Amino acid sequence: MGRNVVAMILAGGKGTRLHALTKRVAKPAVYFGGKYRIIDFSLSNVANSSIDSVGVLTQYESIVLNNYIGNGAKWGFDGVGSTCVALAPRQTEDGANWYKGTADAIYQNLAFLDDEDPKYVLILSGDHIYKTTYDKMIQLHIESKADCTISVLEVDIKEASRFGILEVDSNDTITKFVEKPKVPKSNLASMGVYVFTYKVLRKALLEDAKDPDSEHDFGKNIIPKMLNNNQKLVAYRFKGYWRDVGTLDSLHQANMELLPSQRNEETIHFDDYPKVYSEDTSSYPQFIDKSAVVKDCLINQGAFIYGNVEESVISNEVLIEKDAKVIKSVLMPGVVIKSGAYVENAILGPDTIIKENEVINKGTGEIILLDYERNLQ
Amino acid sequence: MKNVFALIDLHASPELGVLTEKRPVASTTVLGRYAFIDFALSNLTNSGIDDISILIKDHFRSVVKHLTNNNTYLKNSKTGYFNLMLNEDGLKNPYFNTDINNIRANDYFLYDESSKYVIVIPVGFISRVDYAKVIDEHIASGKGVSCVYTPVKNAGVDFLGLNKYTINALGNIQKVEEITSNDDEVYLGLKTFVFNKEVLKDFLNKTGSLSKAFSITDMMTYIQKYGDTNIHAIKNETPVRYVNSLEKYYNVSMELKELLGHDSCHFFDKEWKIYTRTHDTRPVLYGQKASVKDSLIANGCTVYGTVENSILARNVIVEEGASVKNSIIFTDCVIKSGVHLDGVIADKLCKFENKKEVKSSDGSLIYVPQGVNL
Repeated sequence: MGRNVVAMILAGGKGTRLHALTKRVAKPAVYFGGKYRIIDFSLSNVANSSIDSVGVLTQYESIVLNNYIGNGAKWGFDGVGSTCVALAPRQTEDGANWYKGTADAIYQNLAFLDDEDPKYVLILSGDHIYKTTYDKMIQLHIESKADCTISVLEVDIKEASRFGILEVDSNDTITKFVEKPKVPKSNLASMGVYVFTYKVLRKALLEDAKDPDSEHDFGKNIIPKMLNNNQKLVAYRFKGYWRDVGTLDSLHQANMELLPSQRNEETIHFDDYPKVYSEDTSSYPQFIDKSAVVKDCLINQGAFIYGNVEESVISNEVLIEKDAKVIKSVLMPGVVIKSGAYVENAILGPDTIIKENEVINKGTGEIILLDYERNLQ
Repeated sequence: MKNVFALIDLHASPELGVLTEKRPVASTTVLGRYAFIDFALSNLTNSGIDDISILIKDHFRSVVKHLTNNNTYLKNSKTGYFNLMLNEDGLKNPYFNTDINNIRANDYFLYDESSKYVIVIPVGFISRVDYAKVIDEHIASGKGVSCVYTPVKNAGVDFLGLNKYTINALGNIQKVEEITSNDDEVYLGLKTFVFNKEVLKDFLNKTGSLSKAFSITDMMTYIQKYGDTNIHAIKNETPVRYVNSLEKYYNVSMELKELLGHDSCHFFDKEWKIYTRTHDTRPVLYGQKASVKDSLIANGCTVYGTVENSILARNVIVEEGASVKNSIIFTDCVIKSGVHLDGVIADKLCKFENKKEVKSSDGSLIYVPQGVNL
């Protein structure tokens, strides 16, 4: 018997605007919020939607991500009958190919989907920060008898030209899709989250694969072609916090929005349902010393704080020595701030070491990124 | 180590007064993040021992709830094995609810040919013991049974009532005695025993005819005193702490907090991980007016007030204007604004709201039972 829904998470992106953070890992594997990796949000959302079959499409620098995904136990996908598998490009009788686009990534894994035999396929991106369950979206897709349902976010019309924009009728049936329009006629931005009826998706992907002019992309090719074919596409209006952390500034800002001073009803609250699952690092509980000052922070287990930390997100295995000061910064696992050092408005990649009395980015107002390679200099 | 079958002996656990009225020491919270049994299990895991059974004496639910997923402790969930052993007859008659009778009720492993050696380890000690080295030394000794000991100081205070060993020139146990308040430097018995399986079978047969109420410790003392078997002594040199009362629990917890913060290489070792059940709790939130000093804080906590010289377990909330000093607060407690705790051990799910100051006048510890609203 086939499954009702299979989720396919697109996690092959390079995330070039995150610079050194994605030099050796794909963007979905980048650390976030002191404890998580970006992909934890998508995988947790899927788990919280009672979907028990997930394919994670990896490509760029996939070793860390494939290893992290493992058998999906971190998100509970190791239960009876559950499946969680990393799907990197592979060699077949037709040869070996990189994924040429989002649609091609799914196309190259039709064998996986055929084995799972779902009625519906949920396709989403592995590099966004948001908490949700997809139940209502899938329910809307079924009840409206749509061929495809697209999750949309209402954005500021001034920002709309940065997104794929959907135009809808009074029933939220999609009438037009324009990728990054110069003059947007709607503020409904595609979140890159789709529910397809599998038979429809399969047919569309097979046709797209044969099209030499296609970029094999959902936004550019599959969705516009389905609209041209008068297939039924419906918009699902997502309400809530959603962030694309594709740049250093947006990654820093999204981290800062977790802090008590910036939290509000719209930002992410980890304590509320649905939960975000992640790796347990078997770290010690965090230790805050007599000499420490800790204000307006999010600090993960395994951190040892002897200095001054304010308005910052601190990951596991971070050491902040006595008389060091960290302000408005994001410290990823294994960072060491030596005694007397000062760090402001920085993202410090895993295992970065800031030397004794070193002053980093004081008063510039810019967000900077430092990574472990500076340790070697 | 494929040749070894490990028994974690909860029958040999100490009692911590009110703390262990409804749970065994094994599942009692320690250092905000762990249960005591995590130290025993992690030592086995780190030693590569993957065939583990737990001799449960009582409070079954509490132990099972903590252990839930054996993948937490096993390196390989297929080749490894994790089992809970209960002596149902012992529950009806507590006098006979001993570890030996529990083994007799679950003696399949004695006839299973997959292991040659059985190691019995206790809960209640906190130490980093490499059992792989212990087993290796046991095998090298050629003896059928070994005991593990650690040289300690101040035994009359820290280890009162436990056993001390006298060891002869051949490295065998010469005498087993109870530690008294006059003792200082002794060889402390760690209630850790290694048996060749056939020897254990033989001991169980012999002691069965002597008394149905014998424990393993009784059996070892008897064998040492009247038997014709030499018991090899294996030295463990890593430091050891032991809890057997509420006060000791508090003092050892506070000492370990300091050691973790300032002397981690000596007592703790980041390469020798302590595994525990994950609760998927978020990192700790500290508010803009938080003041935190000299404390261990577990994930899930929210600290907007003052915390000094304290240990907070998961999901504790300290509101702005509240303070927690010299205290150990268990999971899911809430300390509302305006409340001040000093010298308190608060069990799970307590809510401090109306009583503004909880502190004893004579400096003694105050224990607040689970679920109390003050």
